[in-house]
Amino acid sequence: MKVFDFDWQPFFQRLRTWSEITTPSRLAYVTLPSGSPTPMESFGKDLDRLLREKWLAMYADGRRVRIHDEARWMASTLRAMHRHSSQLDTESDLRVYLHSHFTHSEQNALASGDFSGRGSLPARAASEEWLNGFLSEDAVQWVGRRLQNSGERPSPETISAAQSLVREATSWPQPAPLHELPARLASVPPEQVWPAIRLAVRVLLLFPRLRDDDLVVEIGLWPALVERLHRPKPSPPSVVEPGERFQLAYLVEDMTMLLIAAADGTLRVRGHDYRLFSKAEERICEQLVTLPAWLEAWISKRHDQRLIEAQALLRDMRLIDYAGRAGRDLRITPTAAAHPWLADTDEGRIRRVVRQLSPAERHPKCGYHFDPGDPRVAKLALPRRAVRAFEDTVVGQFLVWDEFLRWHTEMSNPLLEKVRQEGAESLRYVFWWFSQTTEELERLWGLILRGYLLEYLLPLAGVEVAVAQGDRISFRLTEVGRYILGLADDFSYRPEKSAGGEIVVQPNFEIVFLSPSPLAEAMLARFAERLPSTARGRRGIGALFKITRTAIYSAAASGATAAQALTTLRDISAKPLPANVQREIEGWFGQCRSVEIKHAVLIRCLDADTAARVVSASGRKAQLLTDTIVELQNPKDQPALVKKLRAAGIFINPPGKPI
Amino acid sequence: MTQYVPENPLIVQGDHTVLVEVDSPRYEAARDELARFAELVKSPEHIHTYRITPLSIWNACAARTSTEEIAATLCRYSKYDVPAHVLQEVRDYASRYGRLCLERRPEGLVLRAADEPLAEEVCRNKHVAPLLGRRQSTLEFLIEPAARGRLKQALVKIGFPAEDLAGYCDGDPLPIQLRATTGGGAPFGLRGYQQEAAAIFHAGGSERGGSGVIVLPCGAGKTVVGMACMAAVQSSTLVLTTNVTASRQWIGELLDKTTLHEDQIAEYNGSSKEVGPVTVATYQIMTYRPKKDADFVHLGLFDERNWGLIIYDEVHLLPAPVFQVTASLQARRRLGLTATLVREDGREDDVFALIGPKKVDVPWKVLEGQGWIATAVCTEVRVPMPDALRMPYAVADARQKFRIASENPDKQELVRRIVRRHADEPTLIIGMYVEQLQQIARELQVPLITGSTSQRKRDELFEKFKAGEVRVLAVSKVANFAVDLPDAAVAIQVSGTFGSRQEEAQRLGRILRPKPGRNQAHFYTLVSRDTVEQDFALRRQLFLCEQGYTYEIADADETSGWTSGMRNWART
Repeated sequence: MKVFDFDWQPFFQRLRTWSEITTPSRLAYVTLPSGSPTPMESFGKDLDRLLREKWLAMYADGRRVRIHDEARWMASTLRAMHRHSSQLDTESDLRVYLHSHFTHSEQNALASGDFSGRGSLPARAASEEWLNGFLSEDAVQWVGRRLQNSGERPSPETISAAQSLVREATSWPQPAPLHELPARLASVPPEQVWPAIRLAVRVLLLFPRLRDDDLVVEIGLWPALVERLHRPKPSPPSVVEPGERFQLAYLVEDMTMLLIAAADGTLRVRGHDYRLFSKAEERICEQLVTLPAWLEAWISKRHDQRLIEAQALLRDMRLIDYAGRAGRDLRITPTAAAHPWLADTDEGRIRRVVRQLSPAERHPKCGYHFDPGDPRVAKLALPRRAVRAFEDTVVGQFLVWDEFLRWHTEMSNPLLEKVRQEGAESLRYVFWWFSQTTEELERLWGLILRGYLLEYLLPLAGVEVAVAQGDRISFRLTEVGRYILGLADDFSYRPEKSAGGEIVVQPNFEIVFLSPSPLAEAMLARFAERLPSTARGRRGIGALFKITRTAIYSAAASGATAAQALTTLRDISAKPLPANVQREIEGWFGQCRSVEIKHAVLIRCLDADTAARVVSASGRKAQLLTDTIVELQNPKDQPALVKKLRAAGIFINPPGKPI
Repeated sequence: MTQYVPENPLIVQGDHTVLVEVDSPRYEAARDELARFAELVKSPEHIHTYRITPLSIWNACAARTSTEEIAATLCRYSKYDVPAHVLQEVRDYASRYGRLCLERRPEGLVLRAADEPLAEEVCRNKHVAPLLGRRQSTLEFLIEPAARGRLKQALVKIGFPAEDLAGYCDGDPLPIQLRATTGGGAPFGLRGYQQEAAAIFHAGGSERGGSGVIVLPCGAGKTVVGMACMAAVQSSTLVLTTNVTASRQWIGELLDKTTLHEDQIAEYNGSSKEVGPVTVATYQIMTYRPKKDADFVHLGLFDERNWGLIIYDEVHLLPAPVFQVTASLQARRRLGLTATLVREDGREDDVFALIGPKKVDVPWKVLEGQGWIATAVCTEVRVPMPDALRMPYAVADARQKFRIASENPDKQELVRRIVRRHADEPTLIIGMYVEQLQQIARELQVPLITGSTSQRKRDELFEKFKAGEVRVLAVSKVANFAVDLPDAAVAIQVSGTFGSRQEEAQRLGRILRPKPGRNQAHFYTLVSRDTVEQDFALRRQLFLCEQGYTYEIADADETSGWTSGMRNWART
């Protein structure tokens, strides 16, 4: 161990001075640049004492000070503790701690017995299993394994004292100040206190640090473990009264929006990753439905990520394809299946997406890349258990999501059940890449359930989510949700539209939202232009859309009709649709026409007589466009025609030569 | 969770815009309070948009509206929580007003700063420093009277508007009263809002009043308010208008409704250069110069007399050279009259600094509701292009396309139908192309005014139109501005691009003056279907809708039922 492996008694003895100087002096001391002179004013009235007790040494100029040679080890220890004082929290903090204080071989030894090696040591060291292993009867063996190859052999008395110390520490809600420790450890023989601390720190049971606010040296268990030991038992999720609600198949809306944008076949993508070019991406992202702020913060998904997912799904469903050459004109083109999908009802489109995703059989991508096709994974039947977890929710009632998750991860966790029934080794080869501690298995099951919610149910309107009192996110399963989970054969999708009087279509073609309605946004985005976000203020409120000719043309290109647009506007608007708006929409849709572009060969003749001979020679494959110009409809027929013309005494001039 | 009060009408947005729901039960109260510190940006039928700007806040401060009142209004009428930063910025803008003050002392004009850091900041600013005189104390600077206007301009630009409490010179006295009966014998009195506007402007003659802008919609009687202010000031007055016709109408109104005699009113324009106790001049003549780089030869008019009041009609059109002169006229009372504070050149801050803050702004809907201006219905009629013109149109270049579409001959029949539909109503036919107007005038046998019509002839025709002797009058672009045609109830625009926002407002303003009977005005625009003209019409449509006018679209074939008898419109 690099820093903390020392005799803690002298450290403790010198600590008296530390606890008696002021906090600014402590801060000045731990931030004193090593070997560099510092103005002595930083230490105020503590300067004399620190000089006297050889914590500091004075430079010859009598104005600056440095760390005293005899206090170097003390200073480096305090600095190391200070470095971690506010960074002992997450798993990655523990990884940093391990990297700072332990060599690779020490870490390997600490991780011994774990299939996944030192990579998962942070997760393991912060687990209850780690604590219980040390506190178990065969602690001598446990410690021996973790100190192997180090030459360290703590005596059974030291191990026992360390066990007492750690057992005592499990009752502390906060780390204990080091200077109070001997008084708190009445059950530990005084001569064993310091070796016990040294051992507990060495085997990752105790972690020394400086307290944030006053830099007092304190020691305690890993904070996440303390929190876990002191938490109350989980209770079934409570039913709450919902506040602002949300239910919308926004994934389907995102796919629709991308298809509409790609309708004219000019939406280019990058050659190396098939992502949209950034300008086009930004433009389409602006058009995507705005989720309520609380929801967006909760799911942590940006619009560009949503767009990528929509694009991937469209590709998987063969609704889009890519045409052109990478780096030149590679672009998204809707396939023949895209138009029927766009023209389908909301239910129809959701059904197709659900069929593609098949949530009742497939795991969501929840950060763990285990192979769902692995028979050992399949044997666990996790999708079935996840479906059951949601199935058990009370129909129509909003449950607090965090409570639901905790209840299921701790009390109804198929992975933990497996371990309990068949032993810790039962999952070793299934989830070989991480340590199968209770915490990790709870986390994995939580991620799977969250994946079901965020990847399947929420984006397809399978749940209605709401923010309840205390900003708690709650949810309830909908009819669509039951269909998604395979619990119902069919469904109807009628999310609540915005309450009346809250969306207004104005005669100047703007659509003003007086209260947020993601559903209405989704419906309008198909044929209205979303105003730039800079023109908006509050999320989901204000003049969000403008009906423009360009937007109507774009909607028409994707198969929308004037009747659909007008029906939508009448449905959502709290006021009668302005007559001028209706007129213009009908007019713009009415202006849309389809044309066919095809390649043809034009034959220019000297006179009308020659043109007539060319037509005659071609059979029915050519026709007169003007008196002297003949169109050969299929360019492939050109060689045959040339032969026939030659036979008829009509020759083809080389390009550029006048006829 | 944020609060939501659906019955409140305001949504205050983070970008300082305020949406106002017109159908809210609390709309009128909210609008009246909001108008004190926010500018109306657009007012389509259901939701109006206002914007809070530094200028709008300073205007409010000048009218003694406190920050607390502004914040309270926003919070009281808002559907949602008011964004904290908006309130903070309102406080910040407001805190800047009045921290610098212009005062008159025995030693001269003095700029006084509220604190030393501000005094330092101001005197170190490169645009302000040259305009400051000797430093009297840490907080005070002497100011040359000639620099008063430029200093106020510079201070507005750096975000610290000065409160001008230096007062005004009295000007040559001029007894003037409003009559109880007009020269024509009709009873005359100020309407309530006109009286109030004049009183707010004058402020009992104190230094708190005497300069500022009165915003009234077209047809609301701004000229009358101007005359009321003259009567309050009782001093010689210079009136600046947009053109000769407008000048003559001012003179006509002054003679008709005040106790002034002809010999007290002078006309200063291209044809007459008289100066009298009341002088009515045009912006054109004031900005005339013989060569591009020569001096403005008529700007001396501002110093010709000891004016007690200068009135700027249509102040949003005030040309730049007049701004420059106005900067040196800060010791005189100044009144700006306009229907909109929006300037195409964005120099609203100069109007604020040099003419003064907005004193009164009466929403047109209020006046419409009270019957002081007519209700306008805008109708766009789409006329198909005749088959014979479709190919020439298709192959023409962009400019030609517009002309071909504008001169669509089928519009003539439609004009005839509209004129018949409004058989008893005075009607203006407005167009861009003289040949087209001539053809229509010939066909309908109505008189025509174009740029080449002499002023005498114009005045004569306007007079007949007013008197009802001419019921239909065709006019080219000349009729756009400040032409007071009190009885025009119908306007038919047969051609013309969508001009500036003011042009469109002015065109409509021609028909907004109150009408006997239903008090309704009609503004028809004839547009060739599926042509570039329709694109221009769309911009017009957006503008008019945003102004709150009812906008209808009709196809030409839907107008067949409009014919209701024939008559000859030329009674001359």
